[in-house]
Amino acid sequence: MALPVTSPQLPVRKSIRRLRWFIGAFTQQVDRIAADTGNVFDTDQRALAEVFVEWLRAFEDQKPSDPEDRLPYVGFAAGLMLRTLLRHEPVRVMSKAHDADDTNPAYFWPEGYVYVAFCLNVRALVLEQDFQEKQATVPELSELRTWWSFRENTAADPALAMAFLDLFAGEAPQWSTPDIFRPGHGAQIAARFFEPIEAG
Amino acid sequence: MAVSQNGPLPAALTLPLRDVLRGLATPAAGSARLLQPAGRILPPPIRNALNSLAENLARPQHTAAIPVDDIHIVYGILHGTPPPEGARGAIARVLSYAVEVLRPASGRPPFLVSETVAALAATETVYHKAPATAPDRAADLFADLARSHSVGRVPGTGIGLDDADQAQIETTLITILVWLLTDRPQDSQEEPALLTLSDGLVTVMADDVAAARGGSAALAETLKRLSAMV
Repeated sequence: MALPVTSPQLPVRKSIRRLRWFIGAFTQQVDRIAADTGNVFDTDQRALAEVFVEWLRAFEDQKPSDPEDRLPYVGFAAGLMLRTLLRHEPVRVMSKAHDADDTNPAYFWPEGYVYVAFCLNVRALVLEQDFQEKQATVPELSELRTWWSFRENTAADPALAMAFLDLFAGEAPQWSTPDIFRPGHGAQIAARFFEPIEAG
Repeated sequence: MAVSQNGPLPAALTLPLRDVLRGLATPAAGSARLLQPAGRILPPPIRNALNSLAENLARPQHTAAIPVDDIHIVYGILHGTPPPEGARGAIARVLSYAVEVLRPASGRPPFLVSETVAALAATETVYHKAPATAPDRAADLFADLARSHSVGRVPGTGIGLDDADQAQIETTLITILVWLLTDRPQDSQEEPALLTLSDGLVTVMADDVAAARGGSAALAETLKRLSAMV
């Protein structure tokens, strides 16, 4: 049985605020990564529902009123999602591919890889739909040492995941209190790092 | 299957979420995996914590036919459509269906539903009240159905119900009303999954739901908020 989804007319920034879309999209992300890597995952649906509710509350709590802050808030909201996923850990890898290369982030930390992929993909879609911006691709995304640091640091403080997601997305990370949104601060930063989508 | 040292990476993956976007009218294939018990090979404490939702996810496969027309009638009534002939019966059948879908797979005996009592109880909300909003109508219907004991050990009476039973029945009714208020899925065969999602949301937000039982206005507000989240 497939999960229900929301109206195709809804943009991602609205769809992500529906549990049916969130679970359907997250499940597709897990399935896709499982197919691409050979890793086998198990997903805790209850924890996923908890992630959704906690994230939505955090999202609404700091949602800015100034339209100028909408663009940087996309990245911030994606970071909130990553933080919440790491707190609840709804995914568990049951087995890795027999020839898994642990120097690849997808095998070094399979669960973290799923969470980062989901958050970056949602982030990219919202940026593309609402701002006609393309998310940058940076070398840190494939560097094992960065992933090692990501894993170690977020185990101690999941909020640092927000700074690491900025890093993975090509933005300047905010290492100090990354879970507090700073209105009026991010637009200039974002403008430097996002590439306009080419017409056609 | 292993990937090369250079990939895949999140940015390089074919974006599965694009498929979601494209497939909004055709829900994700392969999601049946969602219905598998999640904790099969986990340690007992974690497995036990997963049981409730896993059972709920599996249950809709074994229920009776989905009363699609009735669901749409009740959805319409809640959203202000004039009630068609037989509207009260539709409410009763939908209630009966949903209680069956939400029935725990194990543990205490299931609750029973009297469709007659439910239909009679719904009369006031369906024909005589004129609340301004859908959540207000849903809150009124909750009061009608709860007060009448249309769901219980001996439907129509409060016999055999302790406080925990009563709380469970009210939570079940709230779950059903959250489900009935939310946007309908494009494929009506997904109604059980939508109901199960509503159940999961109500479970996760148990504190909010408990607080909403204090009054009709608070309940209407909570029903509005939760149904918009499903």
